[in-house]
Amino acid sequence: MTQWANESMFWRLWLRSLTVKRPQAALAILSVGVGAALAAMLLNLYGDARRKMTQEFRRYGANVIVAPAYPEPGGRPNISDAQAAGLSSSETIAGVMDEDVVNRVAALRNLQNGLAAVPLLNVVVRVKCRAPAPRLAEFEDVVAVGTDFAALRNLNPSWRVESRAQEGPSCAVGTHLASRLRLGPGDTVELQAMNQPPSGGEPLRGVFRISSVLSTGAFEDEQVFLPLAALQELASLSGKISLVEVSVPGETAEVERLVGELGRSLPGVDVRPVRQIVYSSGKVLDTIRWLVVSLTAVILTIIALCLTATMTAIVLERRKDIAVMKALGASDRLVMKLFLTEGAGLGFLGGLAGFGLGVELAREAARRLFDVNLSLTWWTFPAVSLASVLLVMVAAFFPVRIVRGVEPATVLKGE
Amino acid sequence: MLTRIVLESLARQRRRKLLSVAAIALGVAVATAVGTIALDVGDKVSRELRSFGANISVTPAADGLALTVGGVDYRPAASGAYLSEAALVKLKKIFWRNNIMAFAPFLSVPAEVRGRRIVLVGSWFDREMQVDKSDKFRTGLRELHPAWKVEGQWPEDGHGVECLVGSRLARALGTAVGEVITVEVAAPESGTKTRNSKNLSGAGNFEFRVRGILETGGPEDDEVFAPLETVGALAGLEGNIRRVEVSALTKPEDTFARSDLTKLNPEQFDRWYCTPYVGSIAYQIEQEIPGAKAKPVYQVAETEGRVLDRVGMLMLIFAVAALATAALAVASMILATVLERRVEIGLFKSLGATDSRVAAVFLLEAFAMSLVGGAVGYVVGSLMAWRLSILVFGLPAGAHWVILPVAVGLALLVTVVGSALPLGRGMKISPAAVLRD
Repeated sequence: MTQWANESMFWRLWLRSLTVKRPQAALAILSVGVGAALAAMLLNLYGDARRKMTQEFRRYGANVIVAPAYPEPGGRPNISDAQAAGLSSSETIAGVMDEDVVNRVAALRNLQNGLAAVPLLNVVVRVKCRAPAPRLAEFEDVVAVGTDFAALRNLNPSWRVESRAQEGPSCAVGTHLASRLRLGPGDTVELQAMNQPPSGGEPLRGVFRISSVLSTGAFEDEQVFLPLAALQELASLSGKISLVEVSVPGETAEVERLVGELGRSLPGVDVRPVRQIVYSSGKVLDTIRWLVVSLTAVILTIIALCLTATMTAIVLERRKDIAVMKALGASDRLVMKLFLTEGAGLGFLGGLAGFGLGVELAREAARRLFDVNLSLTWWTFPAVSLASVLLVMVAAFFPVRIVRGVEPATVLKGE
Repeated sequence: MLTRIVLESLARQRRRKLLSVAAIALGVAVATAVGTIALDVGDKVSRELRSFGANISVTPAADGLALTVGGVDYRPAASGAYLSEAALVKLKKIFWRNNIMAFAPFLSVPAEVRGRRIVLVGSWFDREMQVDKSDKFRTGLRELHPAWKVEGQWPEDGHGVECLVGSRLARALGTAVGEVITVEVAAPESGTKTRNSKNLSGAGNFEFRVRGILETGGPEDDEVFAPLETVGALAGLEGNIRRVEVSALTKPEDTFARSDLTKLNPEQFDRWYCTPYVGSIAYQIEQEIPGAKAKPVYQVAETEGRVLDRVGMLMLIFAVAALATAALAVASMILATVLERRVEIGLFKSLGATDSRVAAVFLLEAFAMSLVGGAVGYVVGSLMAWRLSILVFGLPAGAHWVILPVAVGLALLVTVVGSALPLGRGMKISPAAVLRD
């Protein structure tokens, strides 16, 4: 028998063992298929799920705050009128920095796609209700926030805002403030600065129409939001902001890297990650990853056990074939190789079918559960196919040893 | 006769029977483990999400406008309304009291340290509260904000002279753990507040020992935290608090949770009230503490709900995958054993047993095996879930009895179906052909 004929016979036996109809082979393919489908689905879905989760965590709002470095005593803007009003300057304006900072933060956008930076200026002003019919003729001290309200809203999608488009200079007020002053969208408010303009004279005033009422459950409910330029003019603080709220996409490591980058490029300014957002979301994501990994491991172990049982059945069922092959002079190694190759073939078939099924399932799941289009990761295909083949080989490791114990004479007697 | 055959059959061929039972147990164990974790995961992840901070804030309903700049309320201490510290215990008396995980009261007063204007915040660090005669509850900032980082140690509430200094402020002041800082609190305005004998010299200086440096990334980095009693006494506001932050375990809000309360009929209202939505917990707090206004912090409450939803969906996928695997495990072993029993079928038939009689023997046997396998699998699976849960969450998973009938039912179904199919095929074979082997 030539080497070539030997090889050819081997592959003929192999092909035959795969094509002949046997429930065990079908079951083996099914087991591998389920395992492969699960692995393909989870591998493909996991990246998307993780990205989606990170996105969900961004709903907590800004995760990095850029603020002026701690003011030195005496180094603060000194506004005497505010003191006269019973508030010290540090309370009217808690330290400001140049507006330019926000551009330099935004310049890092090429470093981290999807980075959002919103400038804010906090100033205490007096508000006077000037509704169509003044119902409450008194001044109140409130915190005015100068910002780009639309951008701030994008940063905090959980805020509930009731809006009505308005002509002219408009503002947004917190729900608590609105209910206290009995104001609603469409009404006007008059704001008055607490300090004199640098040129002297009366404190500046401004009239704004309310375009939105927002409800957050936090201190924003008691603030009034103006366009940044309008508040800068009112408070005579042109070109100044109090802080920049930055939302950095990505996980803890990426946020930390960006914080370092920002700190280097912005000397004299404090860049701080908001601990409870940055570190908590990292922790929750880690937990979910552990859960997914450990559950997948459990399921794959069970599948490997199933496969061992199935392979045992396959080998036991063919004891007679083994006896015949051995009687004809085949070595144990050759017969074992035949079974292992058969297992690999079954594994590959199961892996293929499973991968197709898994990707379909993942696509459905991604669309229905996470509202995203599945982005296929190319390396999952070779990974899953290879893993399926390996899984069967490992599962067949013990069953093929049965071959050694098959005694042709005993098995074939009586035939 | 039938029972005897079944019992005998179970007693003989122990190895093969054991293998089948093991298969069923394995399948059921996986289903149980994943099912238990899936049922538990919402609760567990929800606990992890608590580190984002409070999801309900409680303020006095009659309060004026807060002057909050950068998270610090700059109102003079005497203005505005207060809640009573004594009312805090009522938070643990609402309907969903067990869902209140932590809370902390806050009282901020303007103060001065080394010529620098700062905010002195009175709160609870870590305190054991007597809810009723037998029940205690441990709460405070430490429980409420597990993400806060403290360099050094958390102060003791009882000492009254220990404080936490925000990291930015500590840098500016050049102070470190173990040092003493002198805090000067402005006199309560116009002396309208009653001063009792315990008053700590009112507008005087007070020396705090820095026990730790607090880093949060938020406005707390610029503040000084001290025990509530001390701050209250310094400001002449004993027993008063400005705000309570509550961290509650909640169910993600759905459309029903947001429905207008005034439009619900009594039955719907009961359902709303008895579901731990953040809104209904806030409502119960308002009911229990008169004069309080409880508001969900949407940022936290809503994000939490969405994250929980996603995790729940992920778990659902796993539960389905686990069920499929379990069914597969059982089917693969049953098939392997039943196919080999064609000889027995042939023997029964040659002795004159009817087809239904033969089927009854085999199905009863399968039934008995699946009961045993299901029960064992449930126990093993619960143990697995328990281990896994400790590994992943650091907390054991509770046993869920709901899963037991499901697990055993699944085992029964798969075993009986799995044996019936090969059995049907086995019946068709004529006894003579099979017995010749």
